[in-house]
Amino acid sequence: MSPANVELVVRGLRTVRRSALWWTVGVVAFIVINLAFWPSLEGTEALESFGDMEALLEAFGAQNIATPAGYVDGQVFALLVPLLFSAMAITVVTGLTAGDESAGRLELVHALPVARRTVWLGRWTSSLLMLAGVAAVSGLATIACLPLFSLTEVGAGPIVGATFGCALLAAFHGAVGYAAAGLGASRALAAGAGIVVLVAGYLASFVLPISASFDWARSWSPWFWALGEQPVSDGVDPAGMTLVAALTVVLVALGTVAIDRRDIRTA
Amino acid sequence: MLGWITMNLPSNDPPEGSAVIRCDDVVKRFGEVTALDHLDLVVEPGTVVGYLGPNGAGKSTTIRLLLDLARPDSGRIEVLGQDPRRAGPLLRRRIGYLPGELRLDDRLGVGETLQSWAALRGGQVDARYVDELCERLDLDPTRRNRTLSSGNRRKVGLVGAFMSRPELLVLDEPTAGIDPLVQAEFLALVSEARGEGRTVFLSSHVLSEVQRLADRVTVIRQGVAVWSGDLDELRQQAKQPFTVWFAGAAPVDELRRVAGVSDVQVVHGTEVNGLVEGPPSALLALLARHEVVHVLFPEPDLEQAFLDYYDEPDAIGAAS
Repeated sequence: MSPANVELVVRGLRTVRRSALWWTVGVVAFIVINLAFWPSLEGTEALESFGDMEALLEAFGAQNIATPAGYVDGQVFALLVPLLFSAMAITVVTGLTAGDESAGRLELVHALPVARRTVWLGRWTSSLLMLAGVAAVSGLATIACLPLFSLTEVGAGPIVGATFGCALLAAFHGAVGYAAAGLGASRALAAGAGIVVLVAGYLASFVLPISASFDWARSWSPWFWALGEQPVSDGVDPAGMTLVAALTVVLVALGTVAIDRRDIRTA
Repeated sequence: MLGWITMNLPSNDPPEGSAVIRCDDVVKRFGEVTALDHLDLVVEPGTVVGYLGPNGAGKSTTIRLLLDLARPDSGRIEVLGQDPRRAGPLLRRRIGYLPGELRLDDRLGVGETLQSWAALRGGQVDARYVDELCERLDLDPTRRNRTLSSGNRRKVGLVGAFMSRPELLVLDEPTAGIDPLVQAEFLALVSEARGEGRTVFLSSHVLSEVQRLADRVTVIRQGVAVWSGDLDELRQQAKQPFTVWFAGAAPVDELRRVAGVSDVQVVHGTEVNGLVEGPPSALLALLARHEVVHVLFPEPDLEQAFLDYYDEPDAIGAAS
């Protein structure tokens, strides 16, 4: 990497460092608090009785909530952490691209001797590094919690796989926002595009399949590709993850090509 | 009536490739709005050119096209002999730019901002020169961007524009909000740049700034360059405002009959405001025949002069 490329990535990271800190604190707190309830819930009738509400549990990816791995899936990795990671990725990516463009902060940067695509790829890289950092700390925190909360039955391997799947799904949704920003969407519109794909994927993966006639919808969801139904219990599918990664690359390429072909917005 | 107007007709243009900036028949539209309407513009090397026009005339749009921040719908643009889009970063290495709407990242400090710009210029910046610029413009690099006044923000932008000693400086409203002492230092910087054979293209509404700096002026109106020429010539032709305080009743009817005098208005019976176009000798001769307590000829408002010019229905036709 050239010094200019390094500068772009480092500057992007410095810009989001405070945000990264708060996201990390929030996600880790969410994980720890959820896992901390397992010892008091394990084997209780309350948890067993959830089995009567299979459809509701499926909508939250918590169909095996009475088992340790199912509990970690249902409370952490099947729905809420992917949702949090994706919201973070969309927010950060669209903030560094469309947000900074609309605020006029890219005007001078794009007048400097650096290609537009280099600037935008630098910002994508910063976002990706932030996501990787938050995901790494979250995954490690989860693994550290397992022995503390009687979840040793769940191995570190499935947690690593599930965390990686969540981060990949988040990168994909961030890339949707990036592509929209590259095509000229405002920050609100670019973030909206990411959120729409996020929600549509959730509905296709968790809600529609509750009805047997819509079971096919799951196989069209990036959520399912990246995480399967229960990433900790069942493990993740490398082929599905590769598909999500490939789509992410295509979306980033689309946004990067698009920014080279249009006017930069004024503030 | 507009015989003093001299346009940069194609036959007077420097040969292809020798101009620092050349816009040929450039059109830029934003939806239904035509920001630049077949704009022709030539800036010769080593000159300081003032680019003047009212808000919305197309000044900033022109500048953004030169920097490849926006692309023309049609026409041809050359900066330092190259197409801004095709030449990309290699061309922008040779240009220093101050945007009209400078938005700094409030999450950073002044020093961080300048270091970042220097790093993105890829080693063409001398850190000692950056320090010197900060000192000359009275800019404290330890401050946070969010604490800066608008004037200090423009100083950051000016340091950024000058830091690499570029061949071409493109400055959009460079001294807006900057205090007079620092403006003087800015004028010195521009003079030094010209002395080193560099070219400065600046948009400005400040007459004194343009007067002291520009060798030539180009006026833009509704996306068309309507006048281009020597500033002294323009100043001599600009309508000159005046205010006269008479000892007795103002000779209003006589004043209105003086050649070149217009817009005569009487205040409190003894004070008269008006405009005189062309040589003021007839007006001065009239005043000499009356008892005058005080007379004031403020600096002509160049932009107002241009606005007056714009009002002439034949102006565009004469120019084009």
